[in-house]
Amino acid sequence: MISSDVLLATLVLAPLIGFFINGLRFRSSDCQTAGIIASGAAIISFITSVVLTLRLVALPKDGRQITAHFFDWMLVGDFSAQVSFLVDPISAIMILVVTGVGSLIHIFSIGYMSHDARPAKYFAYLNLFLFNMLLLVLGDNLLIMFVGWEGVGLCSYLLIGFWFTDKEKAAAGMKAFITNRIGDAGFLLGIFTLFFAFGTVNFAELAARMPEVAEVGWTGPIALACLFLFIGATGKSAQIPLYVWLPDAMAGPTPVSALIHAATMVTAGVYMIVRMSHVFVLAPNVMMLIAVVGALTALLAALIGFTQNDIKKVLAYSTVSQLGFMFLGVGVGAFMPAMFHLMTHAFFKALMFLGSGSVIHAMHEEQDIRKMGGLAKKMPITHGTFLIGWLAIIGIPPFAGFFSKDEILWYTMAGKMGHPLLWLIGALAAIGTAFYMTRLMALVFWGESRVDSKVHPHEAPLNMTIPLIILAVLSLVGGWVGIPHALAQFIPGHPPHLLGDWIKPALVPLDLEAGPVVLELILMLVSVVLASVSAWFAYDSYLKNKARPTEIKERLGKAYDIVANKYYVDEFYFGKIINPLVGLSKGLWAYVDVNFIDKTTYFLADLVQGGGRALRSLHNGNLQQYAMYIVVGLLLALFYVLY
Amino acid sequence: MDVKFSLLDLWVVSPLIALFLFSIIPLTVKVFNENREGNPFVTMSIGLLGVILATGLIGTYKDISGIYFQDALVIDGASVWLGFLIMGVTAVTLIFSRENMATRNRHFSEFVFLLLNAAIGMLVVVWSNDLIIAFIGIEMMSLCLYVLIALSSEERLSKESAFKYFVLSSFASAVLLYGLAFIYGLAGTTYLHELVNRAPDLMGHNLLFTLGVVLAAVGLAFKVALVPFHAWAADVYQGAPTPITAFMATGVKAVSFALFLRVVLAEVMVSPESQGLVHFLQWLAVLTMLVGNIAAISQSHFKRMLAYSSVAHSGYVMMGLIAAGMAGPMGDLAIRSVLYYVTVYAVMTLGAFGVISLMEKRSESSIHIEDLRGMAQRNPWVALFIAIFMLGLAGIPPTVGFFGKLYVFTAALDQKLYWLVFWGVVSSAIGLYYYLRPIVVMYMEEQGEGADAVSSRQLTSFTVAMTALLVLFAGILF
Repeated sequence: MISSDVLLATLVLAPLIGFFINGLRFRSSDCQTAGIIASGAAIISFITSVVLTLRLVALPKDGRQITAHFFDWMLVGDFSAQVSFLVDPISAIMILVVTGVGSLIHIFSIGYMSHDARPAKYFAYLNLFLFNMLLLVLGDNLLIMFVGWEGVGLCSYLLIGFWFTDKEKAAAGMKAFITNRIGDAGFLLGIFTLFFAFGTVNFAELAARMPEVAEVGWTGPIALACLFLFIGATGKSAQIPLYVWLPDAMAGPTPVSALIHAATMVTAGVYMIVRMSHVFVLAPNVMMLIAVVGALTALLAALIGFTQNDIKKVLAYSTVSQLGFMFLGVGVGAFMPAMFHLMTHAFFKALMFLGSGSVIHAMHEEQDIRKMGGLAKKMPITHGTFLIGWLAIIGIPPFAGFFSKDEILWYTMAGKMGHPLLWLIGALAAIGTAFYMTRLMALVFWGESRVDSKVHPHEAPLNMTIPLIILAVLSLVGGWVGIPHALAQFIPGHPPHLLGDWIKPALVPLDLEAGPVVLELILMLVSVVLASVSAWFAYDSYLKNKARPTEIKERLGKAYDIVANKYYVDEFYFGKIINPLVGLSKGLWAYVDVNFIDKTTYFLADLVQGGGRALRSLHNGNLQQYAMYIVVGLLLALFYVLY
Repeated sequence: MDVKFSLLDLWVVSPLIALFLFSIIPLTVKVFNENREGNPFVTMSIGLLGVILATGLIGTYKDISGIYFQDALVIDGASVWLGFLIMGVTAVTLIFSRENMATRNRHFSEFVFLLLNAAIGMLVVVWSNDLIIAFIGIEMMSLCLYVLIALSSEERLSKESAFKYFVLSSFASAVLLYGLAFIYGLAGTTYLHELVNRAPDLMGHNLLFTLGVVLAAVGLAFKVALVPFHAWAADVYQGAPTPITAFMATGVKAVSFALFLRVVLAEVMVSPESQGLVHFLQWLAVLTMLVGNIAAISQSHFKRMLAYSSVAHSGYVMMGLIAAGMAGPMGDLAIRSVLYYVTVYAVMTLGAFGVISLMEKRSESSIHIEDLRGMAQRNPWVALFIAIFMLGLAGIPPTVGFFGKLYVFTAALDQKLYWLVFWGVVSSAIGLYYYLRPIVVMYMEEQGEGADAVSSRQLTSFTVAMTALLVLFAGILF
């Protein structure tokens, strides 16, 4: 039997090796070879993930941990950074999602990137991303997580700007990078705060050193650290106020949007908070803030989704909104449901992004949904799978999204840390989701065709449709691992809540004191009915009464403009923060730099150079003189030491 | 005197014996071959075999820490580490010298013989527990070096620098030996492990003993090239054939520092009554860093610039050494910082001189910084290597040079040597100026007629590439 150390090393190193192979032949334009190398690496990682997870299953319930210590990275004083990995129920889910969905997206990319000039470079970046993402989720301390955190940010930047010759796309990459840097600074401050307060950055040690009682107020070390870490999470996971980069990130190739900007990287913030659940529960104020930010992001992003006409932008805002749901979940202490939603979301959102990729591919790079319509007949597989994704995201049972989203909403309503107001915002966001996703379906796949006569859409090749089908199956059955007890009692065999039993031992023990079963059932019914009504309304508006959307738009007037312009957040950032900063730095350069700093450095440089010339004359090659220096030095030494 | 050896004693000196046996093979072959020089590749390979065998033997020392050979030799962690370092430096020097025109001449067999014997002397120094044995080791190493410098095919500068080195080094050796005589006379021992117990009572109380320690310190300060005992370094490093310069700047310097370290660890500095020596050594360290870095700025000759840089780096090592002396037996961190610094400095400097050796077309070639103009276009790999070595020597993260500086600065801060660290930081900043100059010239100035790497020197190129990788990544990984 292969030792777990070897398996873990293989898991992480396979994509890195793939990166090196494709990186060294980055000029190659052979998409097949590059794709097979990269996909092979991803699949190897997936297989090892499965083996590791199976070994985890075989372990007793409260001892499910596989650790591997590779080497000490650095030891400075009390501080030690170790390269060691931890597989527990939480990271097991992540590695399965990352490598599983990752493998499918790698395979899909072989078809999608077949016309590109630099596929080897693309696949090299994709493998590098996988490597860093695995570091992020496997590290058993914050430092390794941070290395991965920065690494995925870098890959995200490289892939958003993959077609960097297009200025707009390069700028989108830059925007993502800079916005993330702001979050990363918060993340680093959080690590520092925890290290100074508790003397360690290792997750297990941190959990062990936590005090018994929760902290009061905002200024204790735990609250401060959690606040900083959450700032990091808002950057990476695109929450208010740092969500602005994610919609622009759609400039990257569509499979990248599916992998990085929907299924994996953007969920890193959620994963980080779940991983640190022992710490976060001790800062109730920050938890409340997380819940509020999550709920607001879910609603506001869903509203923007109403107004977008670019297929990928709609999906992007939907991602921001769904991430908001996850943060709402962790904010009310529902860590397990948040991880559940993270997983199901990875399935159905990757599915829909790949589906949109298939559509864009078929439409010859056209992304405007007003120029689509009636694609269902031309692209049956894409339509069928997208349909399942749609049912999953709007929360129709028995599709995956229903179970996970409703569980979050249930804890928001009935949990100890929840609040009915938060539930209301979440429910409104869910209704909004049903509306704009149905609008997307109606405009893209249904109704009559508005496709340009020069474009002849066709179904994608097999290596693109197979990943779609697999993801569609997962979007259907993925939720069945977490059937709530309220429903399970009506199902023959009473299926247990597998995911809950799996994750709970790894989380901080937390009793959320959920309410009566009847209420849970009523709430489920309410959300399904509301989502269906909302979806029917959208269907009716965009396929039957086509005048209605314009009517509503005109009646809303100013309010619609504000939403359509994304609440003018970008304009605010540019006008009030970026431009003044640029102005300030220009002023500093023109005045302080030129007059003060430059002159000082010139003076110092002249001084040192003069010294150098003077010293040069002392080293003139004269032997007697050198001997004299020794004698003088000796006499000085004796004089100095003996007197 | 009743002299007894155990088998373990012989095992401890077996690397020395192995090196010596391999060193005489090429020489013997040459004598039987009517004094005809053999194939230099074969000669080098025999030398390398000896080095590899000795390295393997040193590798078996892990579990036999202790004092051997009538208390003359000591085997501990530092002995093994420095043993590996010396063997590595010797191997690299062998590789460089086979492909350098100044050393690959009709005396190459003699060259290999002398180089391996210098290495034997060096091993004796770093393993010695007896000051007299250490002195013999130093002389053995130095005698070989005088000849190694003079063996160059270049006729003028090498002979001049061999002579200069001989005269000044003999002078310093005399001072050192004079100091050792005083120490022996008053402490009654030359064994370091006995001196530890006696030195604290004598230091500061007994004028003659203090005099002896100061004289010994000055002798050692010459060997490691501290200002004002450094003046030989620039001339000798410039005049010696480049592989030998690399050998001296790395191996000889590391060995001298190792002996210096063993002497200060014998608690000759920690006596509360005599802070004079500690203060004086601090002055030397500050002066060394400043003079080394400032003098390097106005040099146009690449090797001479690196020679001054080598002087400056002695100052940085001194920071760790002073901290080690002050901390005494508790100074594990400081001792490690010194050993780490001499090692990373050896790696970076071997690489830098290796690149110079790569560019010297004839034995009289001398590379000026101006010659590097436009190197990035002519020879991008070589330019990249030079840039890596310069950044490493300047101490820019993530190179090993940065971590070396970090550790010695930390060690000095632990001993509250604040202004020493302050001057260390200031002189590092000054150092940036001349380390970045070759990079500017290579990458930002127009293509010109100038130096170029000799492409047939594949072994040297390979070694340089490996050292560059080490400089870049070893700091992060280890």
